[in-house]
This record gives sequence, structure tokens and C-alpha cells, in this order.
Amino acid sequence: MSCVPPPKTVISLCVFLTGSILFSGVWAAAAPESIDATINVNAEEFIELVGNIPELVIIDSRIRGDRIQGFIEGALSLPDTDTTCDSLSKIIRKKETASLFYCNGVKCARSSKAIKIALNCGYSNIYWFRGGFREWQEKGYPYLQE
Amino acid sequence: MPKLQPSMRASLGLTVLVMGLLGMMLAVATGEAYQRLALDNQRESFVSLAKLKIQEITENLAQDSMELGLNAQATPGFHQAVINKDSTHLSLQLDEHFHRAFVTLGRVKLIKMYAYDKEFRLISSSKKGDPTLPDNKPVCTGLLSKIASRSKTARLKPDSELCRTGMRPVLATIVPVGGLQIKGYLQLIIDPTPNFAKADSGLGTPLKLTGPDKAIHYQSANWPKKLNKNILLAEYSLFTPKNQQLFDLTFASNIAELRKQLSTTRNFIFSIAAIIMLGTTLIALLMLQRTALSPLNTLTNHLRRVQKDKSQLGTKVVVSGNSEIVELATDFNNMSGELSTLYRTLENMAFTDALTGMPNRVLFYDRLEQITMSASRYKTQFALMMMDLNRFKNINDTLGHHIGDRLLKTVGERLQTILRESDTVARLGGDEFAALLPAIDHDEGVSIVAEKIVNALNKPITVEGHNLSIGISIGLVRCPRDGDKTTLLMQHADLAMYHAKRKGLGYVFYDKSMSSENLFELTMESELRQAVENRNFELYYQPKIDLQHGHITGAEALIRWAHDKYGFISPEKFIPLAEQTGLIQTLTEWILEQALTQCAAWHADNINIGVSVNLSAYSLNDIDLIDTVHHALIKAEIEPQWLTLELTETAIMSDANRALNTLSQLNTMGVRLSVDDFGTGYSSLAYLKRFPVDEIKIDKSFVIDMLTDASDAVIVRSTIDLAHNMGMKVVAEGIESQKAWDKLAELGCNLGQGYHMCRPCPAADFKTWVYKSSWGLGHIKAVG
Repeated sequence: MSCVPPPKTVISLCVFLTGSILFSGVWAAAAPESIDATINVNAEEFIELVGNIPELVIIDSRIRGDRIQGFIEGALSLPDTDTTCDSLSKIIRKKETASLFYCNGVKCARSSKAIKIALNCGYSNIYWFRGGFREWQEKGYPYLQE
Repeated sequence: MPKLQPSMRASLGLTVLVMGLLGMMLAVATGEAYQRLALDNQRESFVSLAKLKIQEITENLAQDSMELGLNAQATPGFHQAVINKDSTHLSLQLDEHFHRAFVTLGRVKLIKMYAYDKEFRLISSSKKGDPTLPDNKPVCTGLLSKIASRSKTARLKPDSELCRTGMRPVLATIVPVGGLQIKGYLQLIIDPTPNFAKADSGLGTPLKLTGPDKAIHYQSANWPKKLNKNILLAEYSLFTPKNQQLFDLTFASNIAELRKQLSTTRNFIFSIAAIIMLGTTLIALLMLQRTALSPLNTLTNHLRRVQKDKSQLGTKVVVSGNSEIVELATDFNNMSGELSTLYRTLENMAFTDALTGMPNRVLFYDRLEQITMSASRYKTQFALMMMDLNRFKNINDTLGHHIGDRLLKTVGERLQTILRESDTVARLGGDEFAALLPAIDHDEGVSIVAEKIVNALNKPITVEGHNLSIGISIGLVRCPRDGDKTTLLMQHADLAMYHAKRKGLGYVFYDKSMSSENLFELTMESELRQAVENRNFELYYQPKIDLQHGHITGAEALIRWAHDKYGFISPEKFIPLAEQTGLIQTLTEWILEQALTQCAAWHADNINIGVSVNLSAYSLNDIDLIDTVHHALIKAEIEPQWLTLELTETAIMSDANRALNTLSQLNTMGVRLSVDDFGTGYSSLAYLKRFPVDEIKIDKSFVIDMLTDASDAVIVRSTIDLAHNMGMKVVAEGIESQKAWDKLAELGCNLGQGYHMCRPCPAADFKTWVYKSSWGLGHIKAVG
């Protein structure tokens, strides 16, 4: 190790830096706690939301490989990599139409990335199911498989 | 049968032992109770553990079944079949899932699957599975109702519940079909038995699962073949939420180790209890020994010591221990002190003369015994004095006992003053005293002491205004010279004392000549005293005959003492003794009474004669004599002239003035007076002339010798002549022959007495003689 002498903060910093270098792809895109101008919901709030807003557009931001293990009923598959203002406009009719994004879970950055794109595109009524499919499955809610 | 009297040690020891045993039994019982409690606890904790295990198994099974259900409903086409309520297609799909689950998931034993629409109506069921379960009838509807009662959102959650289909316990799991929109429900029926069965390996304990119909669903391979005390059965029942019984779970826990441990613990506790008990018993006994038994022993020993040795009375015994025993000891000490005082007082009383405070007879004999033994052992000498007061009896009789007592006290004091500290002087009783003079080996020393005593008691003693001249007689013996035995010494000292008294010598040393002859005289005093009291005397009468006319004129009364043992005792022997002892007064009184009464009796029989009574010299000094004579005359109702009192010449001459006075008074009374034994003394008739004497009696020695001895004849003749010249009558004593009678008659002697006429005889014989004799009654009658 290059860092000597090692006080605790220095060690942490070293680890952090080393980690950043090794897993830059994943770690750099790690999901934030919240995103400005969006509303965070958990599984139950999500189910409530579906009852209250029948026109809610549910967007599954995972790539196809992840979706095979199962998905929430009614969710449209639009991986973050395919998310653009154009692709969004095809599934969300108006800018103020309510939409909800989810991906695998809290460690998955795809939904947050898609939300940021949507925000940039001018969509204003956005919900984020940050716990994603993992939370859904863990809580034993039924899902679908293709 | 003797009553059992166990010692205090035994009874208390037994009590402590019994208490100890009870304590041990309590320890055993407690141990047993604790063991039972421990086993109950073990059972309970095992049940709790088993419950937790079963709960965990149930939860895992529920989880697994839910996953299985969720997987099943997620398959493509399943949703549509449910939406379409395509029973046939669904049944096929369910069978496929059944098969898949059966192959892939070994953890869940699926026995049936049911599909319901979203209104919980049964659409289809798997054809595979347990044939006992119905195909077209919903089972475990409780869970269905539970889900139905939930909100829409909550219905999305799968749920699971233990329930019964018929008598069979199962686990039912419901998962919603669909996703956000519920299309229907999938129900999985699972047999939980294999999962529960695994609790045996999980808990390491053999298990038996019994259904509600008591059918055994499972029994571990290692289930014990025989139940014994090392197998603890923990049972509990599993119920559905609706309280339907599912399983009875019985765990056969091997508690051999626990048993062993409990047993070890119990033995340990038992040993500790035993040790404590033993310790307590020992301590209790030790305490008892210290506080009760040992002090009691001390007290008992002390009591025994006191019993053996009275001088220990009053010594205090000190004990420590219980307050009761200390109290007992204190009380004992107090009582011992009181007893000690009492004992010494008693001892004092037993050995002290109460009147004088001097040693008494008992103590004196004891000392005499000791000194005699010591003298024989160490060849020492000592002297013994016996003392007797000379005139004590008179003083006691005339002045009363209280004067006598005071006198004795004074005598005691004087004796104690004269004798030394080392001497023992004691009062033996009455007016008898005795003294022991140790370490004296010559008569002179004893004489000096005796002389002092005699002198001291010759000085008058003043008691309540009376000047009493008492006098003392002392007999002296020396040991071993005069005897070496106490009784002998006492006898000899008595003899010597008697001699001193008889001879008026003050003190006399014993010598061998005294011994036997005077023994009788020594004892005679008490005999005489008794005879006087009992009137054991008799009067004999000898007639006095008129020599000129040959007839009786009177009788001389002569006293006779017929002793039971010694026979006839001469008045010459006992009269002097009576004079010394003062008995003469009583005796004279009795003689006078008897003689006068007899005289009165004669007169009643017409024997009109007088009676003569002899008076001793002592009587002449008796101031009461006049009264005595007077009373006797009155009592007999007889005239004084019939009484003649005879006195010896020496008696009159010993105190002539007093005699003159007394005789004059008697003469005035009219009593006749006669001088007895005339001629033996040194008095002359000329001298006698002064006295109012009516007759003289010529002593028999002159009368008997008169016929052979010329000089005696002269004396008789001249005496008769001179008496006649002075107007006195003459009586001749000792006439033993007619020749004497004739000679005396010739000389002009008036009266005569003697064996020639009549010997002295009892009253009855005398009366016979009077009636028969020629000198007797016939003649009196004749004279008239």
C-alpha cells in the first residue's frame, strides 16, 4: 500500500479510491436516496397509487435479461439504455401524466437514470419505486413471467 | 416395674437427635420436591423449545410453499386460464406444477392444489395429489375467508395457515394470482408431517406425532422401546387458529445425565444437611453440657460433699450456665447458709447446757473419752473432778426453781473463773458439775484448784436478796493412777465425792478402800428419794411398859425400809442420808402423820396409849417443825399429850439455843418431849434441866451392861435418881430379861422397852400383842 502512516480517515479514503477505480462502472451510477421533483414510494404505496391513478404508466427500466425472472403486472419494459425523450413520448402521452419507474432494487441505478432523463424531457409527475422488483418479491407480492 | 427415670442428658440428647432426624427428613423431602420441580422445569423449557422449533419449521414451510405458489401463478398462461376460468386447462397446469414441485422441491410435500377466481369460487384442482382430498370442494375455507375479509391491497399478500381436512392436519397456503390486478387465488395443500418430523434431529430428541384421531403419523426411529425414569416425556398439542387439534407432539428426552446431576446435587445437599445436623446436634449437646449438665453436676457433687461432710455447709458453690441453674445455685447457697447456721446452733444446743451455757454431759463425756485415749497413747496424765452442791435441794425446794436456776448459773460462772481455759468444766445435770484438768501429774496441783473451788462456793451467793450458803463436795481422781477407763474414772470420782459429802471434807482424793462398801450408799440417795416419794416405808411399834405396874402406857414408832433388792435397811443408814439430802423433812412429816393416825385408831379401839416419834437433829432446825406437828395432830384429831417427840442428846446439844426455843414451843402446845440415847453424849442432866423435857431414855448399852458392870449400874441408878429429882420420868431401853426388869423396877425406873416384853412389830401384830399380852389390854381394861 502506498498510504503510510495510516490514520483511520486516510484508510477509508484509500479504500474508497481503490474501490472507485476497480468498480467505476457500477459505483459511479449507484442510485441516490432521492431525486428532486420525484416522489419515492414503497411497494404498498405503489399498490395504493395504482388504485388511485388508473392511468399510471409503470416503466420497468431493467434490461431484458433481468426482466426474465419476473415483472410487475402492467409494467412496460423500457431499459434505461433505451430511454430517450422520444421513446418516452410513445408510452407517456402527456408531460403531466403520472409515471412510475423501477428497476432491480436500491443498488440498481437504471430507474434513477431513466427518471433523470424523463425529468430533462420535461415530465413532471414522476414516482420512483426505489425498492424495485427485489422489494416486491421479498414482500411476496405476485408477479408475472413472460 | 420400676419407673423409668432417664437422665437429663439422655432425654435432651434424644430430643436433639429426633429433631436432627426430622431435619434430615425435611432435607430429603425438600430435595425430592426440588427434583420434581427441576424435572417439571426441564419439561416446560423443552416444550417451549419444541414450540419454537415447530414454529420455525411452520414458518419455513409457509415461506417455501408461498414461493412455490408465487412461482406457479407467474407462469405464462396461468393468468389467462384463471381469467377464463378454464377448468380443464387449469387442471392440467396445476398437475404440471404439482409434478414440477414434487420433483424440484424436496422441502415441501404438496398433496393438492386448488385454483379459485377472485370471488374465491373454486375453478379447478389438480388431479394429482392425495386422493383423499376432494377435487371440487374447497378445503381450509378458514384461510379463504380470512383473505376475503382483507382490503384489496392486503389481498395481494400470500398467506398460510395450519388447518384440518377431515381428521388430517395440513398446511394451506394461498397466493394471489396476477400482479397489481388480482385475477384469482391459488391454494396449495401441504402435508407438514415430514417437516415436523425433522424436529427430532433438530432438537436431538426422539419425537412422536399423533393425529387428532390418535393415529401415529410419525415416530422417530430411535424412539425408546421402554420408558423409564431416565426418559422425560414432554408433550404439547398443536392447534389451528380455530382451535382444532392438529397434532400431539411427544418428545422423549433422555434425562439420564440430568438425573445423575440431580442425584449428585441431592446427595451433596443431603451430605451438607447431615453435616449441619450433626454439627448442630453436637453444638446443642455441647451447649447443654456447658449451660445445664455441667453446672447441675457441680451442684450435685457439692450436695453430695455437704451430705458427707457437714462442715461444708455454708460454703458457696459457683456455677455458670443457664439463668435457671444459676438461680438454683444461688437459692442453694442461701439455703446452705441458713442450714449452716441452723446446724451450728443445733450442734451448740446438743453440746451446751442451756441454763449455764457450759459444756453439757454429752460433750464432757466426749472430751473425757478423747483425753483418756490420748493419755493412754502418749502416756500423759490428767485429773477428773466430780462436784456436787451440798444444799442445793433445800434451796430449790424452799425458794423455788427460778432461784435454783440463778444459783446454778452463778456457780457455773465461779467454776469457770477458777478453772483455766484448757480445762473443761461442764454441768452434768441437776447440781452436778465436773471438770477435766489436763497435764496434771501430782496431787498438789489438783488440790490447789479444788481448794479454790471449795472456798469460792463457801462464800454465800446472793440471789434476789437471799444470801445462800451453798457449799460443794468434790471427788478427785487421776488418770491413769485411779483408772484408765472413763467409766471407772467416773465411778471412782463419784465415790470420792460421796466421801467428801459424807464427811463434809470439801474435796477428797479417791483411794482404793472406798470402792465397794460405799457403792450402795452412792446409789441409795436416788433409791431413798424414790422411796420417800412412793411412801415405801412402814412403821413398827414397840410397847412402852410401866415397870412398876406392869402395863402398857405407849408405843415407840420405829421406821422400817424394806428395799426390794437390799432387804431391810437400817434407819441408822438412811436417816443421815435423808438429812443430807433434805428428804428428812418429808419423811418426818409422813412418820408423824402415820403414827398419830395409828394412835387415833388405837383410841378408837379403846387402846388408850400414847405414841412416840423420833426426831432427827435436822428436824429440830426445821422452822416448819411446829407447823408440821400441829397439822399432823389436827389431821389425826388427837390430843397433843398422846404424842411424845424423842430427840437425841447430841441433837439438842448441837444448837442448844435453837433447840430450847423449838422445844419450848412444842411443850406449850402440850406435846411431850423425851431425850433419847441418854448417856452417850457429853451433856449432863444439870444442863438438860433448862429444857422442858418430860422424860429421858437410858441408852440400851447401859441397861444391857448394868447387870454385869458395876459402874454402868451406878450410872443407871444415879440417872434415875437425878431424873426423878428433876421431875422427869425415866425410860429404860434394851430390857432383855426378867432380871433386868426386876433390877430396873427396884431402882424405880418408870418405863421400859425391850425384847423381853416385845420386839418392834407391824401395827397389826402390835394390836394382837396388846390384846393377848399380860402387859396388854386386859390390864388396861382392868384398871379402866
